[in-house]
Order: sequence, then C-alpha cells, then structure tokens
Amino acid sequence: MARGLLRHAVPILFAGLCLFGIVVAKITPPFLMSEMLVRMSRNSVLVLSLLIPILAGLGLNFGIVIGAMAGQIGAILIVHWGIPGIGGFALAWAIATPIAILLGIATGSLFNRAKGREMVSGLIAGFFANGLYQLLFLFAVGSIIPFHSTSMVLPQGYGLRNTVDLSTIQYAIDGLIPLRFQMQGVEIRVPIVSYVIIVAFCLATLWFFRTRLGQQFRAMGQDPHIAAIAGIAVERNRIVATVLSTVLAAWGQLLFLQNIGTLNTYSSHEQVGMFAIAALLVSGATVSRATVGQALLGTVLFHTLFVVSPLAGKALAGDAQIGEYFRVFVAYAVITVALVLHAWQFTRAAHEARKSAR
Amino acid sequence: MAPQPHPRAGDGRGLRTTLSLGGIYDKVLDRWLTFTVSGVRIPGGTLVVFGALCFLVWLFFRTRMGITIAAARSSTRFARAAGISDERTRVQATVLSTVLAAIGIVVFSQSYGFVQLYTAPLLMAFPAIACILIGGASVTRATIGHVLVGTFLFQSILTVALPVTSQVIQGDISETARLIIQNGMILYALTRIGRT
Repeated sequence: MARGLLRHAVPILFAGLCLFGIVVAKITPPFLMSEMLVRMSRNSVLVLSLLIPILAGLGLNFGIVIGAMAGQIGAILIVHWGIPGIGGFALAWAIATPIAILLGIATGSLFNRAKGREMVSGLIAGFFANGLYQLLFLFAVGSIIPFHSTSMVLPQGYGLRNTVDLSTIQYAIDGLIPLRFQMQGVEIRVPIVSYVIIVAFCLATLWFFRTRLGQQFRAMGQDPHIAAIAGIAVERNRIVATVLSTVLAAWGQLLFLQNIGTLNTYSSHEQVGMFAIAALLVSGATVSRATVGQALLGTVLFHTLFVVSPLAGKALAGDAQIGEYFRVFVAYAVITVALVLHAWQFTRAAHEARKSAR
Repeated sequence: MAPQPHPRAGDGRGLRTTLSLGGIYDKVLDRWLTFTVSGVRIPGGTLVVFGALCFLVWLFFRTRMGITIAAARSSTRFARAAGISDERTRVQATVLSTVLAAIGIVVFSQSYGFVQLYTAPLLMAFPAIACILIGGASVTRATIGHVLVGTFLFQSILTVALPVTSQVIQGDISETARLIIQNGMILYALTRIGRT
C-alpha cells in the first residue's frame, strides 16, 4: 500500500494541487470541462508522440520541436496557396509528413552519434533547428525564395510576419461534426472528430507496441547490447523510432494550430517539447517507461493546472501572474526531478552490476 | 547624466526587466586604464581584470585543490585510491564555476551598461559554451588558451557575419547566425564525447 502510494506519488501530488486550486479559485465544473475538452484535443497527440522513443530506449524526445516545425511549414504553405478548410488541413498534413520524415532521419542519425545523450542532444538539436527555421522564414523567404503575399510577408519585402492567420483552416477538424450542449449556462463544445483522431492514434500506438517492430523496440529499450546480439538492427530502429515520433509531432502540432487559429511564426513551436514532456512526466511516467494511459492522464493533470493556476493565483495573491510563475516552476521542477531520478537509478544500477560482477 | 529611474517597475511592484547602470557602475572597468590605438578605444581595465582572472584560474589549477579536481576528473578510480573524494571535487568545481560566472555577468553588464534581470543569466551559458568549443576544447579537456582563441573567433564571426551576409541577404542576420553556430557547435561536441 505504502509502496503503491510512493510509486504514484507524482500524479497524486498533482491531482491534489489541481483540486486545491479548483477549490481555492471556486472553479465550476462546466467551465473546467469546456476548457479541458479544448485543451485535451489540442495537446494529446503531441504527448503521444513521445511514447515510441521511450519504448526504444531513447528517453524523452526533446526533438519533437523539430516535428512541430515541419507541421508549421505545412501550415504556412497552405495559407500561402490559399487552400481553406479540411482540404487545406489534409494538404498541410501531406506536406508536413515528408519534411518530418527527413528531419526525423537527420535527428535519429544525430542520436546514433550521441548515444546515451539523446535527451540533451534532442534539446540542443531543437535550438539548432530553430536557428535554421529563422534563417528560412525570417531572411530567405521573399529574398531568395519567391514569396509575395503582402498579408504574410513583412513590410520590408522579406521575412514572414510574426503571426500567420490560420482562420481559413481553423476548426477544420474540430468543427467537422459539431456537438454543442449547455451545462449550467456554459456552452460546451465537443470536437468529436479531433477526439476520434486522438483515439485512433492511441489505438495505433497500442497496436504498434505489439507488432514485431514494437517488440524489437522494447528489447532495445531494455538492453541495446543484448538486442544487437539477438540480431536487431539497433541503429536503424533508433532512426525509425525518431522518425515516427517526429511525424506524429508534426501532425499533432497541426491539430493544435487548427484549434488555435493563429500561428506565431517564430514561437509556436518553441515550448512544444517542454510542455509535452512535462505533461507526460506529471502522470508518473519515467524516462524509460511510459504508457498510453499515462500520456492521457498526464495531459489531463498538466492542463488542469494550466487552467487552474492563474485563477488560483488571483484568488490567493490577487495576481494571476503569480499562479503562472508557480505553474512554470512546477513544470520545470517535474522535469528536473524526473531527470535526476533517472540519472540516480542509472548510476545505482551500474553500481549494483559492478558489485555482482565481482 | 540622466536621472536614474527607480528600479521598481511602473506599477510599483516587481523590478524592471532592464536596469540602466548609468551613474552607478556603468563602464567603470572599461574607462579605467582606457587608451586609444589609431582611433580605436581599448577598454584597458576590463582586459586587465580578465587577465588577472585568467592568471588566478591558472594559479588555482596549480594549488592542492585544483590538482585534486583535475585528478578526480581524469580518473575517478585512481583518484579515489589516492584519497580524493569524487563527490567533493565535483561540488568544488561547480562552486568555482558558479562564482566565476557571477563575476562574469557583472563584468559583462558594466561594459554593456544595463542589467537585464530576467533573461541575461538564462541566455549566458550557451554562447559561453560555444566559445570554448570553437576554441578547440572538448567536454573532457579545456584550457585558458581555448577560452581566449574561442571567444576571439566566435565574437569575430558574429561581428563579420552582418556585412558579409548583407551581400546576399538583407537584414541583421547575426542573431540567427549566433543561434545556428552556437547550437551547432554544442551538438558537434555532444557527438564527440567518448571518441578519440
């Protein structure tokens, strides 16, 4: 019992924090539900994209930022071509996919060259890719690459504006089958098709875990050396895992953007990795073990805190910003604790192995 | 000299994001021992302070503590056999690094003229790491020579980037160039660990 509690200490603590915030800020269930339905539909796929690299022993893939960039390239192009609605959204997915595959191969090869440091390499690779992304959209677009739509390009004639209006594809998926109902005077919208897609991705991930390749990933995650001896192409599979994650992140980012309706050209992708990883870890997942259920639970808890913390900060300290600072602190603290625990367990396991070898 | 605005933010709560150092210690080191070589002002004082700190670091690695830190890093097990605690030297090295970083940002801000309260400390580490790597250091070996060469090269690239790239691309590209070079260097170093 005590052990079970300890093992689930993180999600229990988080649920407690959320409940405390809800009580303090006197948040009503309909409001919370309408907010959470929207936020779950936005973020679930991004969190799901982290699972496959964890299974394959790559750890938390901070490189999903790169996938998000691929998604945004798709979004920018369809706005430029002026293709609205579900057709535009489908085309954005279609454009983003090959870009994400290429970038995923590049990231995966990088991970193969930096074995054991995949997480920090992924983080830095995200920053690096952000530099190239800026180079592309802030300087090359309009000066080297012909791109002339005055609504998107900065007045100086080159470089994209800070925001790209995605209203042509806003709610392309969410509003496909609209469902609205009133609950205590609050209108609640349920984006049915988005949830169908999320469930499909959950099932696909679960199915993938059971396939031959999924089992190979699991073996690699447990011990890459033994997996290699057993005849598994470890290096190739690590690239495949990274590609799958990157592509899923690109699709997830587009799903996110079609709900938001505006693209912050230079910042929408920056926080994707941190937030998805914090959401996953909040559920008690670790660097080496995470399930689909944990991804969904973590998204619920993390985004409840997102909704609750500014309101609780306002109720407690009279300032919404204080709640926000607290939330940022908690998000980074969760990531830090998870990484430190991982390193600690890793050195301890190595120590035990040395002891038993003697 | 302009009157110093109160360091508190407009609404009376919280400090401003940027504090001007004008009239406090703006450029104290830069102005001290400053001299001019063919029209270029050289901030002699800052260079003297930097040189002194270089000498102190050099001296430190010849003291007992410095040698134990270096020994523990080159081989943890041999060091332990010689009675050097791995954990202790790690903490010592980190403390020294943090202290030097604190001095570093004060020297930086006196030359820059402003204190950026919320962003500067967060953004300080990456350029510094890129500098030392460009200078030829690796994750396991770095010298003061690497620091000098690397800082000179990295800052030169950033200074030269603007006039060179403006031949092809309009606009100030140096910030983007900094992102790409700095993170590219760190990535390169990460792929080099454990290889000879």
